[in-house]
Amino acid sequence: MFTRSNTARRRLSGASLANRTKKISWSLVRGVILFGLCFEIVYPFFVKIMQTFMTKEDLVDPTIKLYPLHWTLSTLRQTFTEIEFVPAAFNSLILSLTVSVLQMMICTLVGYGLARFKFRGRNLLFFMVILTLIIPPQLYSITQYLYFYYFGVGQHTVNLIGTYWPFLLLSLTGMGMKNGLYIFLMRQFFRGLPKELEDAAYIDGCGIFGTYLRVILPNARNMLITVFVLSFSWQWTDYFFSSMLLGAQQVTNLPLAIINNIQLIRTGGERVDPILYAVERNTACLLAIIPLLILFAFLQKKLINGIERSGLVE
Amino acid sequence: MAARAKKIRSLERKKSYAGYFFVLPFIIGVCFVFLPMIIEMIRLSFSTMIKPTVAGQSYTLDFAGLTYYKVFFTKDAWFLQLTWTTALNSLIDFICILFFSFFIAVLLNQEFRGRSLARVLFFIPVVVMTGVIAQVDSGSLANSIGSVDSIVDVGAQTAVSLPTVADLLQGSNVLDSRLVSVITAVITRMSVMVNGSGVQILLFLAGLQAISPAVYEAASIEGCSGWETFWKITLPMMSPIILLNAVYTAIECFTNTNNTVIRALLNMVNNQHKYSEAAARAVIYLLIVAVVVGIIFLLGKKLVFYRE
Repeated sequence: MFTRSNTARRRLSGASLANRTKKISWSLVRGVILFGLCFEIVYPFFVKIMQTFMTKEDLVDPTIKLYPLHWTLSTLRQTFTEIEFVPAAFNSLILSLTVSVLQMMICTLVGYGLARFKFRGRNLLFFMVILTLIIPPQLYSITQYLYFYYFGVGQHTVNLIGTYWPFLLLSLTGMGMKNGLYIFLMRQFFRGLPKELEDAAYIDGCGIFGTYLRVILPNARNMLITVFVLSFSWQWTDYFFSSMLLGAQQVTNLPLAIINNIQLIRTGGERVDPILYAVERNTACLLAIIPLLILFAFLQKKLINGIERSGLVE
Repeated sequence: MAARAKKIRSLERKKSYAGYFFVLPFIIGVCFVFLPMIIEMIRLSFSTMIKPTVAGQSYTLDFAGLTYYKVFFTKDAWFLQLTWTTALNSLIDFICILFFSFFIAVLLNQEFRGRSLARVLFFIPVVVMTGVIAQVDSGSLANSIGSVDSIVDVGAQTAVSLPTVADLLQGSNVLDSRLVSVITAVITRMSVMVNGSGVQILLFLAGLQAISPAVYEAASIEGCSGWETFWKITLPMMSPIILLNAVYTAIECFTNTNNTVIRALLNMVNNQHKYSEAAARAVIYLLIVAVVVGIIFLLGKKLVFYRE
């Protein structure tokens, strides 16, 4: 019934050959571009990793650049104990996890509200979201410190500095680090979702909040993961807010430990070589980054194509 | 008829109340956390701060009118100059980063071997360029922040230096020396671009993945070429995220803590304790940023496609 003529077959194979060469050359170009750029990112990182394993002689030797001649674990061990990695990382984990989950939930809520509902003052509120992004928190850090130092009304104030409360309060009110970005992201994403998605759910008798939970959130999965990753990583490495709101005495997390615990003069009064000191600080940073990279490697696999599965047939 | 209209109106009202519920956390944040601080900053810029004579007391403010704003426009030529050059530089960075990150995100969204690894590597700048790691990297800079002149470009410092390539090109008379300087400039900016676009790539990637494959499938059945698909599907579907990234990148370029103006401002606050001067300048500079962002939004209004 459906036999192909020879010429058609030849034309087909010719087209597929052209396609294949096009495909292969494109993947070559892509490979070169990505490799080159990754090199730019990885090279400084790689140097730091290798320096971690170098002895002092290797570090001062200008001929040794890429990998150590005398491998050693002493810097790594020294740094690990000095920043008290396990307790510090545990504190960081608790704080980052709480803050990022809260921020993810609150920012999604606010973003959805701004995207889908018409109410008075919506534009003003969105303007405020952008304003929180525009004004760098570093500029009003002193006011913020005083705000939480004398937290309360009139004479009834409590000092929240040194506790996790400022972080929780800021996250709960969408005022945490870069929360404007997350709200904005969610708003843009929800505005890009087809409205029929909700309409179908409303017709099926789903309420506004039921729709939000059962239809909207599953569709926003990629964005939720993205917000979580950003929020978690930035909280994990944040020094500015931690040093301002936690201080060093009460609670120590990883960023504080890196800056405060590694000193040129150790607690015993022993002086550390400046080069070793610099390498120790870099090593501490590596120790902080690696869990994040593992987390991201795990989570980026969950970013999947095409999430408009539920409730909509186009 | 009337009853039906009423019903619809009541649904609308119900929806608007629900809207308030959704944004309630942020309203509380704006009213009780954000606005008090911003108002304080603006108040500070219009007044002179009198430090407390008794320890433990808070400062008081003495109204000074436009004094500190006048200083900005009349006396400090250097700050005006700094603002202008920084703004221009930020604009170039902004354009580079936006195009670059979109391109990389499209690449990282394609299927190829080693994609997961590439994605993880492009994620590194997100964590390295902020917070404690940036602080440690610029550790030696921390002391030199005092004077604006001694500020070294951090991006250039962490870049992979390519003296050999540049020397090679310069030495051999194959290429014009001006062309060589352009190439080296591009390479230097490349590292700024790569390290400055981690977040943007991640956001674009999330946006790209949100496009349903069904749409692409339909397009390919209709006989769309890859080029057409990009212009007719990917770009319009991505436009909300492009607007987001444009705004975010602009803000990031203009107000990150490596920005020379922001550094000068922070230096005034933290080291010189000139709170009012810093506040007045911050207000002016952030107004400029707000204008830039406003322009992006105006452009976005025409170009962005929302499916609602």
